[in-house]
Amino acid sequence: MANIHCPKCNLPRREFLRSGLYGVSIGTGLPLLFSHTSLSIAAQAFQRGREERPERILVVVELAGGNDGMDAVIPWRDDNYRKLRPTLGASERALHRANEDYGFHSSLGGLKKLWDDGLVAIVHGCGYPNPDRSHFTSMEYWHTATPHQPETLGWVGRFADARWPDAKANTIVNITQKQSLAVQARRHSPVVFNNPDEFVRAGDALQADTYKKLINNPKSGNETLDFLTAISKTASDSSRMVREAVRGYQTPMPYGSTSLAADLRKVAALIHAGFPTRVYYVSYPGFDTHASQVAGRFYLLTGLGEGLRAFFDDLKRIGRANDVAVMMFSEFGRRVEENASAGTDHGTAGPMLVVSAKVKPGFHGQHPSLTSAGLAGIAFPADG
Amino acid sequence: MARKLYRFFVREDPDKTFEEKLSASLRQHNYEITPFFEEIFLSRDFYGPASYATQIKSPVQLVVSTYKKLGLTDAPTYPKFAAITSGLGQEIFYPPNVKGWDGGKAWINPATIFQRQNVARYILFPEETPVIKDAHLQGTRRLTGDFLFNQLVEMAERGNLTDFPKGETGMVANRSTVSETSRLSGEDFNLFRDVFNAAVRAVRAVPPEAPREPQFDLGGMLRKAGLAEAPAAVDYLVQRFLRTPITGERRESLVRFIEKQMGGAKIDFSSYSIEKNLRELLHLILSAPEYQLS
Repeated sequence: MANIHCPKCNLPRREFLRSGLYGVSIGTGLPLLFSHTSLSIAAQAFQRGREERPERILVVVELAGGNDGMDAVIPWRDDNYRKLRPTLGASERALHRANEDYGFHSSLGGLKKLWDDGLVAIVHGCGYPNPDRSHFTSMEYWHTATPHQPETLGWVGRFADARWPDAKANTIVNITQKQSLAVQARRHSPVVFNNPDEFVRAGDALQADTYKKLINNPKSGNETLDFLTAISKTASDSSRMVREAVRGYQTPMPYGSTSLAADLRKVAALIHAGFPTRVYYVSYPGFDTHASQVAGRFYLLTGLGEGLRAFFDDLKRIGRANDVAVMMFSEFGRRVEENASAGTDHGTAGPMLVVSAKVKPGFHGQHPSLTSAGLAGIAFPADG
Repeated sequence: MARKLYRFFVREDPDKTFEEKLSASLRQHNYEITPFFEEIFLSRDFYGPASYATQIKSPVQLVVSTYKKLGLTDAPTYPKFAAITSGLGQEIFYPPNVKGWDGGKAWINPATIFQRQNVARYILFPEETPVIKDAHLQGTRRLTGDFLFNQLVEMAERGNLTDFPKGETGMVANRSTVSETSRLSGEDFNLFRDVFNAAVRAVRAVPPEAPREPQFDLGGMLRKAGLAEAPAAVDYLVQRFLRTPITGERRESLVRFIEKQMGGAKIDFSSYSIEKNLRELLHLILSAPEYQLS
């Protein structure tokens, strides 16, 4: 192999493959066999990445449970807001002012920083027609992007099928316990894991060769069996790379202690490792705040703001800040008027946030009117 | 309705004409279920290749059928049934929402396919099951987060089961909900503390029973079947545990594996390592994609 230098880090290419992918030099502590296979996988991933660079990466963050959007991006000047939120409404002092009309929740200091850097675009009032206030129906519609219609594939999956029909491995990564419908594709087989340390097949090392043969199952004519074989291969091909990338990742950024923080850190680790992934999908649960929502949202939104800020600082640190966009949505917003338990109930529309260096920053679309909203929940000027 | 029932009992994609016939019969019998099932179970379709071995086992099915095929007569308590099935995505009596589990292909993703193979491993080698320390306190851990949880454990170890941790610096730094709740209401005790105390006291009062591991004897099973050679053992186990056969190069590799472990084709039932070797072989067979089919 010629001594080609990586222009980014000025390491000889061979060295880059070793250290760049895992952040640690493979030669140091790992068994020889492993370093060989892992190097060849690394080389493959690297080559694959090179062909398509500069590749743009989308990170979808799902705020599960129905985010009270009006308590994140706050229309603090609106008299109706004060009227309908007598106890939950934020005072003018307790928010980060974005402009003359809107401000961010007091816990979203991290997001405000990104806003000040010109990285945040906010689309007001996103929802879908004839809103259904059930969590799973709404989420299903957001996942398929075909409201009120039966659809078995997700929008990320269909997008990937159309955009990358050759369906290379690792194009979609879903960090979760249970795969999201959003990433369900016809051609692609998404990598799904939550805890990278558990994303491993337990067994005696003696089994390795036989196991490899066993999952090398030719097309059988049984569609279900072929599906199982394909997933087994994806698992085998990705698990070692995922585990090594995440375990070896060192970063000084304070991501925080929420599940979102942990997931964004994994995404950064995989991006740093040179994964060819184009869409990452993570979910941040806990937004179903029917009662005493102040404390809960303090925790959730602090985690959201600080997590995002650390993530983008980290991307800048590894030189990928210009390649990544984060998109955030929730299955529905919450009703404008607070309820009697100091919480809010299921509503309809909410703001969608996109954070990226490539985005046109600022507010987009029209904020829903709060005048007639009361009982009906927020109307949705911007169709999801 | 006919399609739903058909999917549950037969396969994912019903034949269109058969589906219409079934729904007509359901209507005709005034939604009586018995004649409907009679029609399904006696149909050629039910036994045809298009229906055979095309369903994916649910986690509960997977574990129970493994127990049955191993010939267990007593339900083991270790590895814990609830823990392994919920790890595979099916927390029994606790479906994700009113629609229930999606089932079918939704059970399977790269992580769960490994976990399914690992569950088979833990049933065959219970001593390898990952042990969760303080399993009875995991509910509190989920509520409080790791930081406060560790504080509580430390206090319990010192014998302090009453006080709420004083001095909120640590908790505020951790930005936990707890600190915010207690700050807001000015309380100096907390629900989480009580949940934790109750769990500790309960376990002290009623210590958990000694775990009962699955009791079976693969060597005995093969000897009883009159098998003496590696290839016959592979074929026997594949036939007993899988719906569809493993053939060609894949079967050869299984035979080579067990022959290498035993140092030859002959099965020596008196060897001290025979049970371990056979269990390794069976774990490989249960790791084949075919094992997920029912």
